[in-house]
This record gives sequence, structure tokens and C-alpha cells, in this order.
Amino acid sequence: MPVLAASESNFLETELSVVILLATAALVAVIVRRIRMPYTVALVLAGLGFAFFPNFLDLDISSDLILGLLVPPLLFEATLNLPWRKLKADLVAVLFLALIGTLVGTFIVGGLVKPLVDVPWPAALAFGALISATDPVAVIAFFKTMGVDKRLTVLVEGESLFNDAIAIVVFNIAIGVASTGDAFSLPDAIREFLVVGFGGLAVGLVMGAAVSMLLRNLDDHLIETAATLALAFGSFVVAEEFGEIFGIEDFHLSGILSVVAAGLVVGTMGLTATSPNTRISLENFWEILTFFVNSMVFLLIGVEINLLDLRPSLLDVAVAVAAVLVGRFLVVYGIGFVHQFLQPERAIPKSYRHVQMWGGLRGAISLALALTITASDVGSESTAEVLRLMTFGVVLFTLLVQGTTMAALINRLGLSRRSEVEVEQQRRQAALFAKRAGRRELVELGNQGVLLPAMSEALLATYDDDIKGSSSSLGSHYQRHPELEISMLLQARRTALTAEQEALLNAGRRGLVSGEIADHQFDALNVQLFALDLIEERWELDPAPLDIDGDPDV
Amino acid sequence: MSERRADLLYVSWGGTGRGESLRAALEHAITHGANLVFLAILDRRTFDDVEPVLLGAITEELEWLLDAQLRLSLAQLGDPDLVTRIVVRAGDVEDVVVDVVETTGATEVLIGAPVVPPAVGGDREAGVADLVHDLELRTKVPVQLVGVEAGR
Repeated sequence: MPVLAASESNFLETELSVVILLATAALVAVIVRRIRMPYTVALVLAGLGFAFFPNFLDLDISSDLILGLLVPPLLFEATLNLPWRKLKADLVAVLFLALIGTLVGTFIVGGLVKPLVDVPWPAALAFGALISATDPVAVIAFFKTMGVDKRLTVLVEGESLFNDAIAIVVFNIAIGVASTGDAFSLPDAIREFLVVGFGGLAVGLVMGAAVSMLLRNLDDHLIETAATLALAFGSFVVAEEFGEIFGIEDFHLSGILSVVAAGLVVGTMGLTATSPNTRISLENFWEILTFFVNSMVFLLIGVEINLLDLRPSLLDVAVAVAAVLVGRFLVVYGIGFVHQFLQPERAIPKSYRHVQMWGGLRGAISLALALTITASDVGSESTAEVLRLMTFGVVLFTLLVQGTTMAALINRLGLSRRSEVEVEQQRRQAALFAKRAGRRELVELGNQGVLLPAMSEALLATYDDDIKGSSSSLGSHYQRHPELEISMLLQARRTALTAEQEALLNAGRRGLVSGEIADHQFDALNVQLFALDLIEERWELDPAPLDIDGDPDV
Repeated sequence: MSERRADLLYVSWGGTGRGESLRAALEHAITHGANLVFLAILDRRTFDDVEPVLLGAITEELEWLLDAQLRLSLAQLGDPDLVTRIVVRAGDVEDVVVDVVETTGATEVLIGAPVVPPAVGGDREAGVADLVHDLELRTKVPVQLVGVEAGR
């Protein structure tokens, strides 16, 4: 039994490593609450720290681990929560950036890296492709905390979802050319691109529709949650192993696009028909899973990158960083320029373009693709090593430099809705809210006889004075800043509609109204909530934010 | 028999009509002993791609929000004796204003400032001044800005 004992031992060591990483993630999450640093950046730094304890972790960080196990749930959750209506409104801009942008970016970065780092053309293009995949996790986290416009979130997240898949397809084509030495054939490349891409989308659409049907006809939050989990991984595996499953040799489809399509279908068709109870279960489950997977991804990025290895290749890394920045600049502003003529009513404001440009962080996909590169793929081990190190360097630069300066850029562009005035409003509001809650508790204590009537009266009188003061302070703040009124009304209306949904959920649970009626009204309230989003986004616009150079932003 | 009060039309198409502008319009109406029609326009340039069902929901929600804002402003002005109503319409800003002036017989148009540049439109090079001028020509009633930028 020594073999079994050895494998058991390996398994336990791997399990221990995962536990250590989870504990580290939890510790980092606690620390970042006290310091002003993005969680993802702190995770990468913590991961880098493991380089000082080389034998501490027993993990084989392979491309399969990242692409097959960590990326699908992240993409699935992102698409599940990406409102199709909003994505549809900006689909042209998103696809332009994801499709044309990735292709153009691949050639710009490859074209700059080829002569400056001296690598063969296919290897340079493979690098251009793998580094075109943007990772929005860190940026989206900023958007959420800073209250950035949802349209910008959709643009950034939507681009990332689609460009991941396109980058992988282009990367595989480039690596195919590099490894076989065959002459590059544009018609073949386009054919492969279309088959792999649309095939992946088709698989995801079919599987997503099947699971949506299940969700519509079933009301069991455990089974429905398990079904979405199976879909997230299943859509990836079925697309990637399509040839294997259906007996077609050397044939596979885009697993990433399959996951994206499946998530969009379920988010649009399936979730709208689930009971409120199931929806809450699903949201909670995916929130926890995403937190876990994201933590692992960013820690592993840090663990995989060894700073000492980067030192001898600093010049190459600097060239790669410069090429990536130039490529991103030309893609974002170039496509933004063309897009404004194609869809003038949906033109992307200049300030958004600055954020899209600087917010093009690179992460898990780039890293995973770099880890697949072998000497036989690109001609020599030294070329493979250079490509890997350049990727690690770019990922590190974008996360540590661009990632840590995003908040300042968003503030500088005036895109953060949580201005000082709003923070002050919330502070005064919170004080009033807390005082009222305290007063209610005192009344309760008095009613229960815990407090003597005289005591209760004295304390209530003191609270009444405090409440009066807080109320007057909030009122005077509104008078000084009348622009806060509508946002406050919007917020209150949104809270009220959500409370109506909660009430429906409770009524459904208690059998006071039928599930069908509760669901129908729940959906109607969803439409009203979406209408509020659009009012906030398009009607209740702030006067155009100023560009960095002071020009009105159009 | 008491004489019917004239209607003033207060126009907003998003970004405009903040509390301060609305209160300025209300004060103007009180001073002139007029009723106030609050016209909110869902500008076609910003809402053209929205499906009809959703546009209906937006109209309802906007009416709800503006009603709350109007009540708040009236309370701040000491609940004056003033008749107000809200009209939400979708379409081209100029066309809607002209149409509503005709149907209500409004004697003056007030535009809530600040006027957001995108809403003025890229094809209106001279921006707000041109808009005011065009509206005066088409409605044949005085048009003026009210609110934070009006006095600048």
C-alpha cells in the first residue's frame, strides 16, 4: 500500500496548501479593512511573500487549474449578474472593444515586442494575444466602492468577458503556427476563429437554455443552485472536450465563450423565473464562491511570480509593459473615436475612455496562457521563458501600479458619485437613523417595564433633543446642496421597492399569495427598479463631468 | 366668476430641474400668480433605444419621483396656494415643448438650469442660447432659464 499512502500524503499536502491560502486570504481581508489598499492588490503582495518560503506550499499551479477550475465560476457569476438589458444597450461598443480591440491590440503589442525583444513573429503575436485579455475584478471592486456609473461597469466587464475568449482563440492560433512551423493562412485562421468562437457560444446557449428550463419548472433552491454550479463547469468542459465527446479528432470549441453564453442565458431567462427564495440562495452561494475563487486567483498570481526571476529580464519586461500601454491606448481611444460615429447616441464619454485605458488590468487568463507555453510551442526554452516573464511582469505592473492608482483617476475625473458632500450627507443621515433606532429601543424597554417610567421619560427626552439636532443638521445640508435631493429620492424609492419585493417574498413563503402571483409581481418590481437605474443613468445626469484638460466631457 | 390663472411651463429633460431650479420656478409662478406645469421630457437622443414597456415604467417612476420632489419643494416654500401638475413626455425636446405650450396655453416657458451639454445636442453649436431663441420663435412665448446658472 505504499503508493496509496504516498498519494494520500500528496493530497493532504495539497489540501493543507489550500487551507493556508484560504487562511491567508481571510487575514488579508481583515488587514485591508484597516489600510487603504485594494483587496486584490493586497492578495498579490501576500502571494509574492510566499517566495520567501519556497517549500511552504505544495501546489502545482497549472494552466488547467486556472482555466478549468478557477476561471469558469468567475465568468459565470459575472455574466449571471450582468443585466442583459444594459449589456444590449452597449453591445456594439463592447463587441468592438472585445473583438476588434483584441485583434488590433494583439498586432500592436506583437509588432512592438518582436523587434525590441527579438522573438519570432508567432511567439510575439502569441504574447500580444495572451496579454490582451483584461481582468476587471480589481477595477470593478473600485467601481462598487466608489459608486461609479453602472454603464461604465457594464462596458468594462462586458469587454473583459468577451475578450478573454477571443484572446485565447487568437493565442491558440498563434501557438499553432509557432509550433508546427506552418505558414500562416488568414482564411484558415478566420475559419478556426469563427468555428471555435461561435461553436462555443452555441454550446453555452444550448446548455444555458436547458438549465433555464429546469429552473423555470422546479422550485428547490438546493437543486437549482447545484444545477447552476454544474452548468458553470459543464459548459466549459463540454465545449473544450467537444471533439472528444462526439468523436471528432483534434476538435474543440471555446470553453470561455460557452460559459459566458450559458451565464447570460441563465441570468436572463432562468433567474427571472425562479422563486425569490431560490434567487436569494443563488446570490448568496455565488457571492461566497466568487469571493473564494477570486481570493485564490490573486494569491496564486503572487505565488507564481518570483520577483527574483524577473530581475535579469527587467528590460524585456519594461518593453512589454510599454507595448501593452501603447496598445491599450491606441485600441481604447481609436475604437472610441470610430464608435462615436457609428452610434452617436451611445458615444462613450472621454472620461470613461480614460478609465477603460488605465483600467485594462491583466490577471488570471494572461497568467494561465503564459503557463501553457512550452519550448516546443515557440522554438526554444529561452523564448518561452521570456514570454512567461514578460507576462508576469505586465500582470504585476498592471495590478500594482494601475490597480493602486485607479481610485485617484476615478476621483480626478469626477466619476465617483460618493463626493465629500454625499459622504457628509450619509454621515448625518446615519446619525439620525441610529438615534431613531436607539429611541425605539428605549420605548420598547419602557413598555416592557425594564426601565422605570421616570427613567424612560428622561432618556427619551434626551434622545428627542438629539434627534431634533440630527434632523435639523441633515435638513440644512440638503438646503445647502439641493442637488442631493433627487439622488436621495432615488435611493429611498429603490429601498422602498426592494422592501416591497421582500414583502412579496414573505407573503409567498407564508402562503398568503400564490407563488405564481408573487413571482409575477416580483418581476414587475424588477422592471421598476431597472427603470430607476435608467433614470439615474440617463435622465438624472450630473452636469457633464469635466475632462482632465477641463473640456466638457461629451 | 374668478379669472383663470395662467399656466407657466417649467421644462426639464434630465440633469436639469434640480431642487434649486424647481424652487426658483415655483417662486416665479407664485410671484406671477400662475399655475405651474412641470414638463419632464425623456429626450429621444437618450431614450430612443429603450423598449416601449420599459419606457412606460420609466415614465411612471419619473412621475413618482418628480411628484415627491415637487411636494418637498412646496413644503419648503411653506405650502403656497399654487396649482401644479406633472407631465412626462418622450420625444424631441423642442417639439415636445412646442406641443405642450400649444395644448396648455402656457404663457411662459422656464428651463431648469444647469442645462447639461449633451442634452443640448452636438448639432446645436451655440447650445443653450440657440435653444432658448428657437423655442421663443416656435412657441411665441417668453423663454427663460431659472436656477443656479440663470443669473450668471
